[in-house]
Amino acid sequence: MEAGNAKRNKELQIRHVYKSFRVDAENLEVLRDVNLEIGEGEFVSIVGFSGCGKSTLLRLIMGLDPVTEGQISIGENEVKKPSREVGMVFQEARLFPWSSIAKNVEFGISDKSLSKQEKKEMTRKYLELVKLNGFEDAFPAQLSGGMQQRAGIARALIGNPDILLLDEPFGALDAFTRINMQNEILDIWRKENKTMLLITHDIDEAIFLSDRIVIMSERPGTIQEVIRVESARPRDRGSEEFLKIRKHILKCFLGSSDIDLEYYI
Amino acid sequence: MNKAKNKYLSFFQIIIAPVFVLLLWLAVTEAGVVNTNILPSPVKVVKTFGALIESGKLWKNLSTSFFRVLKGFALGAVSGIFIGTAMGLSGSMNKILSSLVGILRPIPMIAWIPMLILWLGIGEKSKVAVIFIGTFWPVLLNTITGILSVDGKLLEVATVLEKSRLEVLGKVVMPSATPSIITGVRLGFGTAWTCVVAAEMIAASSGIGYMITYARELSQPDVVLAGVFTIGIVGLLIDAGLLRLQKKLLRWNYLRDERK
Ligand SMILES: Nc1ncnc2c1ncn2[C@@H]1O[C@H](COP(=O)(O)OP(=O)(O)OP(=O)(O)O)[C@@H](O)[C@H]1O
Ligand SMILES: [Mg+2]
Repeated sequence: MEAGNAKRNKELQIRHVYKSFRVDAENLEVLRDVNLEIGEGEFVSIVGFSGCGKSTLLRLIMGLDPVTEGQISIGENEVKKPSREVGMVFQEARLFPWSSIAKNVEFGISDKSLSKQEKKEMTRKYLELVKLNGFEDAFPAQLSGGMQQRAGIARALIGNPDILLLDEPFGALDAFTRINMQNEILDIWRKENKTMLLITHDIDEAIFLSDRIVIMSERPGTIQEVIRVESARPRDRGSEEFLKIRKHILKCFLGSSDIDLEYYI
Repeated sequence: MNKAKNKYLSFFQIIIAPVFVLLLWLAVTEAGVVNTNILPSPVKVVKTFGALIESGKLWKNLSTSFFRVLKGFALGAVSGIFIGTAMGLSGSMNKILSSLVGILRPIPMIAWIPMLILWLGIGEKSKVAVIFIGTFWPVLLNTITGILSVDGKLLEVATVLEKSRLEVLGKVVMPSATPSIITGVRLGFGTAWTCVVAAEMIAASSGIGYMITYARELSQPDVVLAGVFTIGIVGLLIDAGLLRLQKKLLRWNYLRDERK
């Protein structure tokens, strides 16, 4: 399904990006010379050790924090501040505790020309998409962690960004809901032709979803390797190629000790 | 079954201390341990209380005080919320005003009264002004705290969605500050009630504070006590009402407790 409208170029370019934080008068280098280009409509995942700077990278792309060195641009425009073209699902759900779930999701709508009725209808649609229909009037505190996370995903999707950044969005979900959500995301990605950049700790998830998988090294985070996944979707999680890539990624993380590796697979 | 038992137990726990004090009071006055011209027996106080209600005296003084409180409280709460919001939102506003707040706030209420009487006369205005000041501080401080304690992570959600400043204020900052603001308002009402009585005791010709001072001049300790307890009971009722309102308005803020 190619939605090849002659839109503005939305390629995401990350060029020689460095990021350090000052912690107690010392420089903490978090990202070192990160280079990555993500084409329009591409699905890319990032995997890497905890604390290697994945969330930091997403915040830079979002324009929430400035880069220390280097440049990030979308199409022709350098990213300097957040824009509605880029959506974000944070690592935590970050819902407003004082608003109902429906109101929380509706907050993600940025199109001001919509009528109240249209907004309501859209909210209903996206709540259904993340299987939260029936919880419109509940408060976040009345939902489980996974349900809250799904509401956060709906809030990001409803704004219809061209580029969606997802920071471990399925981390809090059980295995079944997780697979369900992966299928939903894939569906949305195909239908709406969005660029998606996903951070995950789940290697299977990365292989199942992505065109390319970016492996980051430990802090200071650099791009260690980029793996292309060629096979057609929907992918069979038990296929030979799947397992081969899985083994390869694990090898990157665990070093070259093949002996241990068999054990994990 | 167990729940009903708990309910009785908690009721018992709530009333045990006041009942004990009352019984002790009754005992010492009935046994003649204290001079009843100084401490009348509770029976006498209740009788006086009944007489004050019957004659309409209590109600008249109480309502006079109550409306004074309402006026000063409304002014104090509104300005406290406004100025507090401005100080919470703008760092420079905070800097400009905080030294002034630092100097004025520790001045006890009573110290203002002579000055206010000089400026505004002995009538309504000076009393409303006293109550205004009494309400203003707790509302101001709690509003500032509420605004400053808004979760940066939630603000980021609004930033990412490029919401306007007005929308951020209305949909993120204010809702998140509301519990703290309402706490300030509750405290403010409490001080307002205290202030009106203090102001009336110093200079007034009506009101519950006046009633108490006047009774003291006539050496009527039963009337003094009836007045004092009225203040306590009304204060308690108002706070209970405000607490209920708070729980109703801010149900989301109590959900975590409900889940436990
Ligand atoms: N605002 C900040 N100030 C100082 N240090 C920071 C800041 N934000 C992140 N860091 C540091 O940067 C490093 C990377 O953090 P980041 O959140 O990007 O990791 P991550 O790869 O997302 O980890 P995880 O997988 O556990 O979420 C950490 O060591 C963290 O302590
Ligand atoms: Mg992270």
